[in-house]
Amino acid sequence: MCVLFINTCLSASFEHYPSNPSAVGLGLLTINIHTNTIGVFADPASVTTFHKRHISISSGKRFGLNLLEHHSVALAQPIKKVYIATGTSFLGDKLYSETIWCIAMGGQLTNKLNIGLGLMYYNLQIRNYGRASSLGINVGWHMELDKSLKWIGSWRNLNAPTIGATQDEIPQIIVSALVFNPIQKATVVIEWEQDTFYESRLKFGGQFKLLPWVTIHTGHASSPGQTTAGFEILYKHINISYAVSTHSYLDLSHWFGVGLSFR
Amino acid sequence: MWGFPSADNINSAEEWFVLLGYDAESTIPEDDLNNVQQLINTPMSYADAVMIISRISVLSLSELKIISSAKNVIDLKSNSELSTATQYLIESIQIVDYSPIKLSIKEKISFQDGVRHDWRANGSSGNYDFGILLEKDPGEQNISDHNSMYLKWNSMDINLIAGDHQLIGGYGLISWRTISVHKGFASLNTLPRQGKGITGYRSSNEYWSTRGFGGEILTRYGKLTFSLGRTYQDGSLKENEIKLDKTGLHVTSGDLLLQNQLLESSVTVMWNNNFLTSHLGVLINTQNVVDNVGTNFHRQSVSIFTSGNWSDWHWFGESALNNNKSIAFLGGALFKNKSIKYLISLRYYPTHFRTYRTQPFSEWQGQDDGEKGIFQNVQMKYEKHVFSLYNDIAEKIEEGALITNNNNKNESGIRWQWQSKKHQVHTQLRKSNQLNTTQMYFPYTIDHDISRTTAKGHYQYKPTKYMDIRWQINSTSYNNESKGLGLETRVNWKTQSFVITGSWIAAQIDDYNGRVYFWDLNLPGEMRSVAISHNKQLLSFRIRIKNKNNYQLYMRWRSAWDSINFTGTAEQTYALAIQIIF
Repeated sequence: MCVLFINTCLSASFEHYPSNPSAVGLGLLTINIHTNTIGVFADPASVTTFHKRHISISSGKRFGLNLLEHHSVALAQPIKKVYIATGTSFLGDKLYSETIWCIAMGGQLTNKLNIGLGLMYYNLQIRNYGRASSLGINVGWHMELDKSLKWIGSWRNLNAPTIGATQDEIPQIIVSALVFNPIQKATVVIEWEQDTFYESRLKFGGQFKLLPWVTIHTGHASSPGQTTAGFEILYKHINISYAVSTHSYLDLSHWFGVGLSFR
Repeated sequence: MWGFPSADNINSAEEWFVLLGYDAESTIPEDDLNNVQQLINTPMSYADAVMIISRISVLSLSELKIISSAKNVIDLKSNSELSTATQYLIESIQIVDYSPIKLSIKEKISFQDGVRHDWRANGSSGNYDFGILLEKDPGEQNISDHNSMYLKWNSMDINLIAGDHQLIGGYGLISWRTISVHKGFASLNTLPRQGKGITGYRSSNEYWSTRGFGGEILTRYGKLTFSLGRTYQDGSLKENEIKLDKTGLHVTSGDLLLQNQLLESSVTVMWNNNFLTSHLGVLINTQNVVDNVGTNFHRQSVSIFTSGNWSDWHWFGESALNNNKSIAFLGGALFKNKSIKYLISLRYYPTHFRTYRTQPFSEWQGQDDGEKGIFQNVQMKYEKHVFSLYNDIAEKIEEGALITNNNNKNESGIRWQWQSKKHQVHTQLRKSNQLNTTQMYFPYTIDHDISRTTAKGHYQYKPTKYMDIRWQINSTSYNNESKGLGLETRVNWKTQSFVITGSWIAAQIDDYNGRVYFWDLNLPGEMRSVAISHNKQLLSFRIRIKNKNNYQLYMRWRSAWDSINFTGTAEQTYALAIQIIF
C-alpha cells in the first residue's frame, strides 16, 4: 500500500517543498512568518524579515516513511538594503532523491511592501536511471495592510519549468494568505494554496505565546484533511522547534528544526 | 436638465452600471470597469480624476465637455446638466490635493468549474506608468497562462509605451476595444465616442492587445499615434482567412494546438487633428500573420474618420477600405437640447470586411457576415421621468449561403425611469423580430419569423443611508412558444466596515430560448451576469470588508438549485478578492 501511495504521490517531482516546523505546526503553511530561514524556499519575500544573519536546519520524515526523509539548511544575510538567503534541501533515499538549491533575494519596495525573488535549482536522481535538473523562479510579497493584518503571497515556479527527457512539469503553486494579530501574543493565519494541477488547499492555524520563550501552534489543512500541532522554544539566540501532522490513512509526519540568530 | 440634485455615493462599478441602465445581457468593456473602480476606490487629484473619466467610453460627449471645462470638483457637483449616474460617480470620487497613490494591487480567486486566478498591479513613478497582469483560467496549468505588461513614459508632447498596448481610433472599423459599442437604450452616449488613442493594455481579454512599442506625438499639425507590434495569437490560417481562437482557454488538447500558433507583425499609424468646429483623422494599418508552417497572410486597411458640431447637432462618421477593396461605413448625427436627445446612425459593412482589430457597431459578429442597418435612439427628460426608445433595422449581407439566411432583423425598445431620493422605478420592454429564409428546394424559399420579447421591471427602495432593497422581475417570450420568468430580491446593508449584499433569484423557465439574465454579485473588475435557462433557485451573498486604510477584502458565495422548490443538491461556488492601494 505504501509503494502504491508513493507511486501516486511522486508522479510529479518536487511536490514536497522544504518547510520549517513552525509553519507546519500552523497548518502546513507555505508562507513564512517565523524567523526561520527554511521558509525562504517557498516564500522568497520572507528573506526581508532577517535583519541579522540567521541559519536554520530542519529535518523530518513524512508519513513515517524512510523514503520521504528530508533535511534542509538555509542561511540568510542582510547586505545593506538587500536581503539574501541561500539554502539546500534533500528529500529521498539512495534510490530516489530530490535536491533543491535556492538563492533568494528581497528588498523593501515601500514601507508597507516587501518583495522577494527565489532562483531554484532542482536536481532529481534515480539510481540506474541517471539524473535531471531544471531551474525555477519563485516570486513573493509581504504586505502590511494595517497594524494587525498582513497579506502574504507567492508564485512558485512562475517560469513553468519542466524536468527530464519527458519534460515533466514541476508543480506551479499560487499562495495567498492573510495573517492577523488580534493581540500581541496571538496570531491567526488563513492560507489558500493552489497547485495548478490539483484541488485547492485551504489552511488555517493559530499560534500563542505561552511564555516569553515558548510558543505553541496548531492548525488544519484541507484536501487531504491534515491536522497539525507544534511548539517553538527560544533560548537566547537559539530556537528549537518541533511539529507533527496527521493524515487520514498514513502515519504521522514529524519535523524538527534548530535556528541560530547571530548578533 | 438631465440630472437630479440629490446624488449619493456609489460603492461599486456594478452599482454604477446598473444605475446607468445597463441590462444584464449587455457586455461592458473591462477597461471601463477598471476605470470606474479606480475612481471609486482611490483618492486622487482632480486632474487625474478628469483624465480617468474621459477614458470611460459609456459617458456621453456632452457630459465629457462639461467635465473637462469645469474648474473644480465643487463646480462639477453643483452641475445639474449631468446625468444622475454621472453625478453619483463624481460624488463618489475622493479628491485630494496631492495624489499619494503610487501602486494598486488586486488579486481575485474564483472557484467555479475549477479555479480562476487573476493578479494585477498598476502604478506610477515620476513620469512613468506601468501595469502587470497575470491570469489563469479554470483548468489551465500555468500560473501566468495569460500575462501582460507595459511601461509608459509621459511628457507634455510625447508619450511612449513599451509592452502590451492598444491603439483605438475612429469608430471601430479598423482598431477598436475588445468589444463593440453596445446596442440599446444608452447607445446615443457611446456610439458618437471616438477612440482615445494609445493606452497600456489592462484587459484580461487574451487576444486583443498588441505587444511591441508605440507612442503619440503632439505636433502643431495634429496628433500622431503609432504602434509597432509583434504579437503571438491563438488560431490558425484557413482558406486565406485568420481564424482566431478568442476564448483565451488553454485546457484541452484542441486549445493547446491553437495556442500561440500565429505570429502577427503589425504597423498602425493614426493622425488626427481638431479644427474650429470639426475633427479629422486618418488611420492606416498593415498586418502580416504567419502560422507555424510558414503560411503568410497580409492585410492592409485605411480609414478616414471625422466629427463636428453644427448648432445642436453633432455629426460623426468613419469610412474604411481594406485590401479586398471593400469599403465599410459607419456614421450618424446626434441632436441634443435640454429635454431631448436623438441619435440616428447608418452603417454598411460588406461581407468579409475584416481589418486589424475591427469591432464595429453591428448586429451580426460572424467573420464572413456583412450588414447594413439604421439605428435610432431617443431620450426624453421630463421632471423626474426619463423616457428612452431605440430601434434598429438591420439586413444581413451574406455571400453564397444557400441554406439559411437570418437576413432581416428589427429590434425596438422602450424604457421609463423615475427616481426620487428614496425610490427608483425602471420598466422596459424590448422586442426583436428576425426573418429567417430557408432555401429547402431551390429556387423556392420558406420564410419564418423569430420573435423575442423581453420585459423588465425594477423597483429600488432606500429607507436609510445604510440600506437599500431592490426587486427586479425579468420575463422572456420567444415566438410565443418558450417563456421564462425570473424574480430577484437584492438587499445591500452597509456598516462602517462592511457592505453585505444578499441576492435571491427564483426563475421558472421553459427552455433555453426563454432564458432570463440577472447581474451576478460581482467582485471588483467583474461585470458578470447569470443566464438562467431552466428552473432555478439561486442564493448568493457577498461581503466586502472595507477598511479606512488602504485595502478591501471581498468574499462571495453562491448556492444554486436546479429546481424551483429547492430540491436536489445545490451547486456551491465561491470567490475571494483583495484590493490594495498604496
